[in-house]
Amino acid sequence: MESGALEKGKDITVTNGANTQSVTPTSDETFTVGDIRTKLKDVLNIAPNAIATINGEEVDDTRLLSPGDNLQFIKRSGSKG
Amino acid sequence: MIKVIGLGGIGSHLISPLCRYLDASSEEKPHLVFIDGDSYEARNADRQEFLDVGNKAEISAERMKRDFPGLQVEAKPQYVTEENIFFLINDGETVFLAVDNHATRKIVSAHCQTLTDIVLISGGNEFLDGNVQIYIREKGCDLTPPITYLHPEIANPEDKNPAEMSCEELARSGVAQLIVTNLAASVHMLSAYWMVTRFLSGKGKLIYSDQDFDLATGNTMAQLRKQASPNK
Repeated sequence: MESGALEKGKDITVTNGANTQSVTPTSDETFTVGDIRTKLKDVLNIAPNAIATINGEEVDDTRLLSPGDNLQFIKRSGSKG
Repeated sequence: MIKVIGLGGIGSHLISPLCRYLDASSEEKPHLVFIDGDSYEARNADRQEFLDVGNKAEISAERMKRDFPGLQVEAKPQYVTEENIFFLINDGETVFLAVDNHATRKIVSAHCQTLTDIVLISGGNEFLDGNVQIYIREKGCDLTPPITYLHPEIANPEDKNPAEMSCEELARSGVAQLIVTNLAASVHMLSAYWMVTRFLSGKGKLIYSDQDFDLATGNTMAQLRKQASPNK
């Protein structure tokens, strides 16, 4: 897994709040949403219970990711003001 | 009519540029109503904008009336509750929601979903990050999802409405915040308002409904969310 767009269009884009990271699977690698949540939890500060969406649709942690997917973890709204 | 709910860390910084913008750009001077049951205290001076201690809505309204005498500014010195929301927010209004608890956000969101035309711009922050959510309902149809969509922390809030809290609970409820983060949230709310007014007047597109920012990384992310089964 590397950050940055090594193969444009083939990356999986992962977002949590304002922050984004790209994941470039090798030809024999597959990732589920849960795999990405675990791998990037510290880098992107992903909450364990954050809702995940792929291309705008809510998905669970077993969902297999495809190259080009836009995986977004929904960060909790700021509570203070 | 424009309602500003919450005149604390975000709201107290939001109102001056909002009033300046409205004063300069509107042919008809809009009517603004500030709503907050809390009071400014000396300890708020580290990150909130006010000239005197006292009820936040009343003190803020006095400040804006002084600075922008052409605007109509009114104060409602009360917290928003399930009982008074029907009197405080009405069809056709724009609501800036800058409160410090999800319980109030839920009440406002639920009421806005019953109206025919409403613009709700909600902002909140933690210590270094925050977000803005835009809910637009036009002619009885949602153009963007409600602020509870994908946000269970608002749909099922763990915190309390300040109207239901004791004095001791209110005193304990404050957590460390940074004025810079409050300012960032207020600026993003104003940017959202500018974008929405252009969209609703046919001069621009609705670019985004949700915006996150993170001062720790300097990143901002805006996106237009769609709900699978929008409320009609």
